[in-house]
Amino acid sequence: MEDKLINIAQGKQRHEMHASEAIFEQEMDKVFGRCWLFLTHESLIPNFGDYVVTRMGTDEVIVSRQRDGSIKAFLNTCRHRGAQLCPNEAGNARGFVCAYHGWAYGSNGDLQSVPFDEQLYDGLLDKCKNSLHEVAKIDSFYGFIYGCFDQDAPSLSDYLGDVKWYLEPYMDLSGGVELIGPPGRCLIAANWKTPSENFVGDAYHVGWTHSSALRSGGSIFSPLAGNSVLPPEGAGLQITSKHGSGLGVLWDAYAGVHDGELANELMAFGLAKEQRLIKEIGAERARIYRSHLNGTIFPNNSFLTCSGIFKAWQPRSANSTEVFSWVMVEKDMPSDLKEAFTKSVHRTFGVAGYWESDDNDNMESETYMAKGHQAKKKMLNSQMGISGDRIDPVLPGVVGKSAIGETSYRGYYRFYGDLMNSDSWAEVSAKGDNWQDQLIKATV
Amino acid sequence: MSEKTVKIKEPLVTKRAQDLQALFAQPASEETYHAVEKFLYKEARLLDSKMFRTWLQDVVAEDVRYIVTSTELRANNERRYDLPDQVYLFDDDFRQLSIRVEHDLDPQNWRSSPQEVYCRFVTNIEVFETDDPQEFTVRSNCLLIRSRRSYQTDQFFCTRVDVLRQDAGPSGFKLKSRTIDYPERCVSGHNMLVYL
Repeated sequence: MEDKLINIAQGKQRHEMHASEAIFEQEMDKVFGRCWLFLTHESLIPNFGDYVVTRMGTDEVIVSRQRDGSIKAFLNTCRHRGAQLCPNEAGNARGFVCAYHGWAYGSNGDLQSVPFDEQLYDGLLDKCKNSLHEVAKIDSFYGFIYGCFDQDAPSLSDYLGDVKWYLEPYMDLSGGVELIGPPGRCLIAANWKTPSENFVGDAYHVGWTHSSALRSGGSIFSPLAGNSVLPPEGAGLQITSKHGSGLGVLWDAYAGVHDGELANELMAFGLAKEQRLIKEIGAERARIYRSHLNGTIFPNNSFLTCSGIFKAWQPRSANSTEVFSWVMVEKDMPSDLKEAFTKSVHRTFGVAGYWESDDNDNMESETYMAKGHQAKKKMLNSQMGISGDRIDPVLPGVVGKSAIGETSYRGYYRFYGDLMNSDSWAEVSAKGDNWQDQLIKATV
Repeated sequence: MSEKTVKIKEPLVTKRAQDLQALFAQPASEETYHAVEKFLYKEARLLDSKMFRTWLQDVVAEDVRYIVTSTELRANNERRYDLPDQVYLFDDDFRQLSIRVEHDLDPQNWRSSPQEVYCRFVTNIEVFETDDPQEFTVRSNCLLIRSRRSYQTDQFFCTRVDVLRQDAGPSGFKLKSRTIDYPERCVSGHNMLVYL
């Protein structure tokens, strides 16, 4: 057995990472305990007292809008005996009352009242020391709210690093996007990394895995069905960043995965806005606005920009993942188009999505096969385009040779390996000082 | 004892169920009931046999609306949070159902080979008249068990509220609409690539 879980120099990973409960336990500490994790979008908790309950790794958290407009997040457990505090997914509340004994907390996490505390605790219960366990850091970019358990983590902006330049045109300069909830939810028998790595940079699978969806759905990608053609050189980009987030770009593919009938309307909307944006932000980034981006914000938050798909792959165990599927849509899209778009997102990539189910099959089988005693010791291959990774004078990040390549896989697992092999953020940061060289020098 | 009073507010989430009750006021005749029962069993057989194209042709109306929602879990007394609480897992017309059927039957649909096997149980059938003498509201429960590859067995269960329209074709009726609010919030069966 090769000794390393992650072999950066050759772009390989040990298959065991998709099935080992021991590795999963380490990930909860070293990956989910340290990284910025997606929580919600401002559009879903607009008012004071609005909250959602979501997941950070295997923990449930309440994310709550405060009186001053800021946002806090807390573990969804009562400080008394650890019962689940809030069984709802979303709502508006001035506070949360535990169903067990009635301990009541404010939406700011303060323990406000304990039934009969004066009679029963003889004044020994200090409410100030029993606030809800608060998530250390909360920050947002373009309305997307993230939380982090580790006080020593870099800022969200630094953490996102080079991918921001690519996300800004669609998520911000377009006039902004919103998330439409509630999310679809389902449980798949896959390790959380299998969908995360697929979204971070796998344009290779589209023509083959989605052969039947391409043929029947009539999207703008349909000519790829059955691998009948390879997208031409220059059809797009693939990039990765220091902290593992990465993405692929398919030029001008604004209508994404949506079926033929909706595609025309979408292409017209995107083209009109691109024309306007050229004057405001220049032709290059206006083109990125109207291009299709697939990506993952490390570790488990994926998106397809123009297709409108926004995902959190929430780990439940080494071989079980809960999928949360929201719709991401430009705020200024006309309401009837927005509604048709929203339903089409769930039709393609929701719980009953006919594109999504093609993918999940692969992710489940990668996970299932990783349980094999011999198979788990073997190394997986993400070497496509390995000698072509480069620094570009204009494009941020490490840039791959072609839209179809595995540069973003390599960047994703480079950072994952650093996290798993480090005891602190200081150590992680030191290991990543020369991250670009590590990727560019990698070779078979 | 504390003298604090607790105000119990009327739960709002029951409203949707109460609205539906109006549809179930006037039972249809025995003759209609049996014709509808035969129709639903035929549909179940076509779907279990994966005869999806025949299902579209003989059972589904061209102006169909096929809806499966999933409802977010909220407090019974929630009053202030007014963002939508439902996500449409399906909201399909005939063309969109046809895309799904062709996706499933495509020879390069890798997940359909080897075939999944379905067995469904349609029960609790009730048939009601509507304002239109040609149309009936039908409430039924459906339990679908899917067997897949060697080890996977998934269960899907729901209450269906259908509108059927009398039809001169081979099935006696056509499915004009089907509305399902799926009971399981987090779908445990991997995906909902099934017709319920």
